[in-house]
Amino acid sequence: MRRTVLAALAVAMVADSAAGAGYSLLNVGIDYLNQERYSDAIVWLDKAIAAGDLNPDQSHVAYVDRGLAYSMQQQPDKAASDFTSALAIMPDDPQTIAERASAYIEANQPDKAMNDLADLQKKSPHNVSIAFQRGLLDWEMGHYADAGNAFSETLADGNYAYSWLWFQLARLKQGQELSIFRPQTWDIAGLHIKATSQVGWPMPLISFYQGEMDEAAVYSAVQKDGENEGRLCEANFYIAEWRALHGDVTAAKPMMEKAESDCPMNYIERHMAKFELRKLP
Amino acid sequence: MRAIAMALLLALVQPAFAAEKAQPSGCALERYSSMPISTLSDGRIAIPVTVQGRNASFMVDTGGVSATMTMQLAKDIDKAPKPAARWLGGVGGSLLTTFIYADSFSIGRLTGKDLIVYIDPRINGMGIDGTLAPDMLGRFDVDIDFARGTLSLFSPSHCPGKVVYWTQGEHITVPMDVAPSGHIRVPVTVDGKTVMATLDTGSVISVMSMSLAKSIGVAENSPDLKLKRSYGINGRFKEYSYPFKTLALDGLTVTNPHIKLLSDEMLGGKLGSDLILGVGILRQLHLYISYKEEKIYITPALAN
Repeated sequence: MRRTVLAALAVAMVADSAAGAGYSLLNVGIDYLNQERYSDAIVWLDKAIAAGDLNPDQSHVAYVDRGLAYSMQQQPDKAASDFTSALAIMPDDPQTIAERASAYIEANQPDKAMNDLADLQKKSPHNVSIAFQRGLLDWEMGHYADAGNAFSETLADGNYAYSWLWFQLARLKQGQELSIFRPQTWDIAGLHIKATSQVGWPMPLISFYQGEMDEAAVYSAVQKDGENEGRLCEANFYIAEWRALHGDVTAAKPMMEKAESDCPMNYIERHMAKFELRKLP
Repeated sequence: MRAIAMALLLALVQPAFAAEKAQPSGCALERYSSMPISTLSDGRIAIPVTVQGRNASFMVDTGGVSATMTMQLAKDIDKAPKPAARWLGGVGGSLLTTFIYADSFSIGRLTGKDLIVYIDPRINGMGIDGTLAPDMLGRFDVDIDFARGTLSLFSPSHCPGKVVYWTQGEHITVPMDVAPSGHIRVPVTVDGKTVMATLDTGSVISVMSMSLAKSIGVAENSPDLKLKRSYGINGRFKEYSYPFKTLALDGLTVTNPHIKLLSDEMLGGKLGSDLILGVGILRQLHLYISYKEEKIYITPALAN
């Protein structure tokens, strides 16, 4: 074959009217999404969808990806609409239902989010991450007892660290005592293995909640290696929650603001910090 | 631990599809199975499989070594993982230390018995139940038609070179090295310099080591070389962007290929080469991989 040229990102090469144009446009959109260039991704996914020649699988991913791009651009209503379009093509796709639930949460539509989570839970009754999400949503709705119950479901096989932290927050909200942290272990063919999360981060936060470590020691643990971007924001968030629940709102607020601004976009702590700041005086 | 047996039982193959009309008599391709592709949000692809009677979706990973599955799927089929004598590197740098024997594992009409499937906790949340790797795929010719959304498995026994059934137009035939792990390496030309690249449908993006980039003329002080990210202790892991102009497989050229440059510690030699072509580039092609012939037949994705 002589010099067949493919248009990778050479967008001028993509002829909108050509047969199969939608597929080429979709590839450009996916590539932009993978590069975290969300505005560009939306432009090209718009074109891919408008081309009208995508097969159902490709249409599904075009809507999902545009929804993800809208989510990252803080446009949850548009994101939810795209996820709904994707679900019209593949109604049972749990990944898309989960994404739409997140979009509904961001769009302050907790009832719709809860419906999606309930649907997901039916499809995957043993998936603890769905129960965890449900707990966060109950927390936002102010249903602390329900939140506590949901978080406790996630602790059935041992104390996954983040579940334990949220379970304690729900207990504190209800004026209950903290429970003991019971490290999660996996029994694999007779080997008793501690889960990774129980031997490293966020164990310092667990220790802080249990009164075994002070704030300075937690921040020192954050600095132990170079990969501390997420850890620092988590430390700020969970210590701010602790302080707020113990009445020290003045100290909590700036830490929560730091968590909101510094946590990576896909961290639940970023979203929850934003939510908590709306409630703090 | 009993001996590892990974033989797909071809004797159980149901009658194959009819021979392709375009092939001359005696050179007919025998299509064992054809599956619809489902596309993940990042462009990678998965196909339906059945593990011990349970339907599942497995990502196609030519850069993998062994099939993997989630712990959830292992639980669903009531299999307790066993510790593995041979550990494997998994998705995102995870270490795979346990596996199960799948009593039956079907890809379309093909069914195998006593297949090893490693447990990879990191694939939870990816929207798939597992991954397919060359340990299974390498027993067949693998035809990936990204644009039309099908993956077909063909018999590797056919007349040499007589495989391009989907187009009467031109195609290229690229010789490939097949490593003992099943990884596929092909010669490619990046901005005029020929290097070896590993084809990895399990990688979202294409990546090149900095040492390879330097060897093909990317100067460390080039204003076009942009540091995008650094992390790890003292920021020793670095990611760069660089505006490569072309990537060519024989006469088939991808313009402005998006190839991320990584510091050597992150990539050096991984998958057997310093350049990995991910699905972002591969999706623009129709690939027919003949492991037995050690050749790959390629057209643009939309060729017909």
